[in-house]
Amino acid sequence: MQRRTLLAAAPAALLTPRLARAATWPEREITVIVQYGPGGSTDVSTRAIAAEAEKILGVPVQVVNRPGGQGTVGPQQVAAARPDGYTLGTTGLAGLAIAPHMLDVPYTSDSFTFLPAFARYLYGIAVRAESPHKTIEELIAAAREKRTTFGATGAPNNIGMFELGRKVGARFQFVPFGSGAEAVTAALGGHVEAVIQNPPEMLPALQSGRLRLLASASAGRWKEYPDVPTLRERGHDVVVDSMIGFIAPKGVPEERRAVLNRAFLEAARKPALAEILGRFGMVPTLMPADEFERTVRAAHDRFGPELREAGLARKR
Amino acid sequence: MTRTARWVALGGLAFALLGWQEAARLERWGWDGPGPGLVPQVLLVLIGLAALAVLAWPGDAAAEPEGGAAPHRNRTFLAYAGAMLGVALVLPHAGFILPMLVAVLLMLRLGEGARWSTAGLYAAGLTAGTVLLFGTLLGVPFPPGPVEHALSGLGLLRGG
Amino acid sequence: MMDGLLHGFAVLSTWQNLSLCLLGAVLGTVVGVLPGLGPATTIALLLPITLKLDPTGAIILLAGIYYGVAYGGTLTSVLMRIPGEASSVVTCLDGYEMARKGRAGAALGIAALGSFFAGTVGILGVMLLSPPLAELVIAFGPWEYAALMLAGLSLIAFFAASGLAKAALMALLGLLLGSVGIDPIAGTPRFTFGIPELVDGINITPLALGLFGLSELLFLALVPAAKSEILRPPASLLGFLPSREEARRSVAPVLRGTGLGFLVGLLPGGGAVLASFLSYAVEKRLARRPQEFGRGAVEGVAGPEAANNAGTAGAFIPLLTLGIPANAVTALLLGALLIHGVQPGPMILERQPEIYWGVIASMYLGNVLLLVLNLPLVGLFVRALEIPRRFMAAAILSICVIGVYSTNLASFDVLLAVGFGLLGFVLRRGGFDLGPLVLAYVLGPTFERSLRQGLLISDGDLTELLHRPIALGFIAAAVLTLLAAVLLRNRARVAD
Repeated sequence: MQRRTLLAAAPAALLTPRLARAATWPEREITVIVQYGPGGSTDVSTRAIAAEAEKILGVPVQVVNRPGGQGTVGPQQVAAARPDGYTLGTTGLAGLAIAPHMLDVPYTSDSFTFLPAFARYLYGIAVRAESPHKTIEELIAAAREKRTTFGATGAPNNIGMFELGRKVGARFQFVPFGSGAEAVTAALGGHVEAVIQNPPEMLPALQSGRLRLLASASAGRWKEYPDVPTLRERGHDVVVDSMIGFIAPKGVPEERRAVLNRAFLEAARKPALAEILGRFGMVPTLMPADEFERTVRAAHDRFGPELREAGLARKR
Repeated sequence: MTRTARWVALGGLAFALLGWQEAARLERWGWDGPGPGLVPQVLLVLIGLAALAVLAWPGDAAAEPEGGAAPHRNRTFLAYAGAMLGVALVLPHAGFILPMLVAVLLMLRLGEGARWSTAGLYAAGLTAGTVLLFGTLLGVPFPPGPVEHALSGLGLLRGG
Repeated sequence: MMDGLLHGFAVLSTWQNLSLCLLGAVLGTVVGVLPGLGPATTIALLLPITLKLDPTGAIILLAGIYYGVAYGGTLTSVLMRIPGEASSVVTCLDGYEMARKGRAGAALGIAALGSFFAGTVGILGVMLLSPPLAELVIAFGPWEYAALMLAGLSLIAFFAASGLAKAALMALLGLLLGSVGIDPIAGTPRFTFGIPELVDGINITPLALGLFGLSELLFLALVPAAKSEILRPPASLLGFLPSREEARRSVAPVLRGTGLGFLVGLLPGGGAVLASFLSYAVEKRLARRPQEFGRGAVEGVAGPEAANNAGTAGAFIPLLTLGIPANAVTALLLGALLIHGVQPGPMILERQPEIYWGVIASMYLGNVLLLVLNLPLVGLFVRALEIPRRFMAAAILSICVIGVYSTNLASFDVLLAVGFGLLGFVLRRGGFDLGPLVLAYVLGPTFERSLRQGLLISDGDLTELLHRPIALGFIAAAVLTLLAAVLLRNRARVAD
């Protein structure tokens, strides 16, 4: 064990310009467990920030993928790891705030030490080009008249639409799809009347004019569509939000936590990261650890009743 | 063959009953359409019926079962099955390399009656080959184990 | 169009891109041969490397792997009954039986030639038919999917060589195995017993490797040691050439497989796996001698192998025209394009024609390379059958274990595969056909999900189907198939 540590740390220490760091923590490579498979937006953006963090921390930051269980297998392994700060993970709201209401998972938010979050997903509501609805108001008006279907992959997208429906007195019927691509395809074919997804799936169809973006469901507008308002700007207090942040097992020593916090916040400011995030339709976000933790816990408490009401929560 | 077929049918019946315990907890009809329980419950009933049908018509009684009459008395078969199960059970605790070495050794020595030296050489060669091809060349992550740890320190395997 | 293609070949004619195309094809073959290691795994592993290449080169490399896999997957299916790839699972059924009869070379030769034909026609289809076919992709909604899956499931009736009750039990078991995991609509876990690895369902890799590969290993153990060469190798190096009779019987299945595979490959959530299964079922239905299926019918190799290659090409259409990935692998290709700042979709032809045409040209070249690589290798690979059982068996186990593990990095999957190996052994001893089980396992989940999506959309109204001509057509086909199966069965009984 000790030998391996030395072998791994030695070349890294030689490579880094800040030799002084080698004496302090961290002294060997850090592993980040990504909760989804390789090649997706979470994986790619985590690799991008890991590359930046590596330069700051002076040790290799290795990304491993542990997909499965709807994004719960990764956090589960993080929770079970030794809290020495060498094993971290990524998570979003799906694994910590949504899945616990639907699956039996052996962890809660209390099982983790929260670190900063660095990226937010964008959400948008769109209809196909042939649809009579030109604005979000027209879609809402139609849904007040009669049940209106929308396609999405699941929470939090669908929760946002339910919330909107409740606030304006409209009936939106959720039709779940296995992937964002399938949901967008169904909207293009008019099988569902609207779709609420992220930019990567929607942009090609939007840019070719087959799909019309009615509103951004996020806190801000999409940079590709600066003229399309957010739901909030339209007077509907609904924001669909999810982010990627780092977690560690509960009980990481305070000074190590501080090192990691500083490193990830600094890495999140790098323009190279913003570039990659932008390509995957995400927004760079500097969310300190305590804010990330608050957001996750608040979302967890909020999603419980919402999912139960939608008939999606686990029966107790 | 008919005997095995009847055993399978009985297994199918038991499976349907056990599965029902699990499926009965699922909602048959949700608030907005067929629920998660509908399909599994229908399937389990049908499995029960099909199993009864197989019990009644298990097929050609004269046909010899594939693989001979008594596999459980065949040394090679037992060695192969044991190696398979052993590797699968030990894998999460001891990684891939160590259990595989032992399994191949046993398959060749006990199952095939090869000499210890042949078995040992082949086990070492095969495992090394698998590690080099999958781990080193293709970068496939291996299940963590003591030998894997040592090799990832040498850069022959991805750490994990 | 021709200008574009010429442009594509010009893009390809740099040494770097040519060698990337070759490297991709070779790597794809290797990955296809090794079970468990799918194109998705490999493309994912290579993704970080492609970051160092320019976008065109990266996509050429990854696309090369993608279609190289469709060639390589056949090899172990035919020679060892281990599906190298999910899309080659059906090839185990008849390809391995052909090998048992000493026709391994012919099976591989037919597969390679059929794959080449289907791949090349598929690319032509991508070039010429993309815009209209994109409309077809969109026209396919939940009802159409459900009806298509129903038509596919009805074909199981023709699998009933072992008796209707036995085939039904297998198909139902397959459907149930397919329903394990998170419910696709309500999100409730089903049959997961608190095991997190089961939440995403039972993966096809442990299922197929266990039922086919590991169970075969147990049967091999029972062959008396004197006959321990696994199969009869062909007499000469030219043994890969199919006989005149085999070639004649393969023509129609290859043509049908190409058409069917291409169309199914287009559909999001469809892909090469579905295409190969449907083609097998159709060929069995149409065969003049259906009783030969499962005993080494060349049609059962030719059709599915053509279908999975055509499906591989077809999946490019929604990616290139709509920016929609039709399966997990094209989703990864999409990711690779995005990393390089290329947004796929209809705009790609205008904004980055060198990428579009470079990929098309590399697909032509890749197919030729793969044929040239594969045909001579067939003779060589078939020699592997002369390896004594004791060495072969251990190698099969070793490759299966690491292959299954690598798919999801889950030790639990290995246990599952061994369980399926034992189950497959018992089932085959009881005279059960495994074909219906795997077919139902593949088609069932899409059927259930689509049907329930359709009912959600129509608010529980089944009559919505009446307004859907495509879906009605599939349902009519399903009904006719079932009727035909019953009638043929009765006629066979009278003839006996």
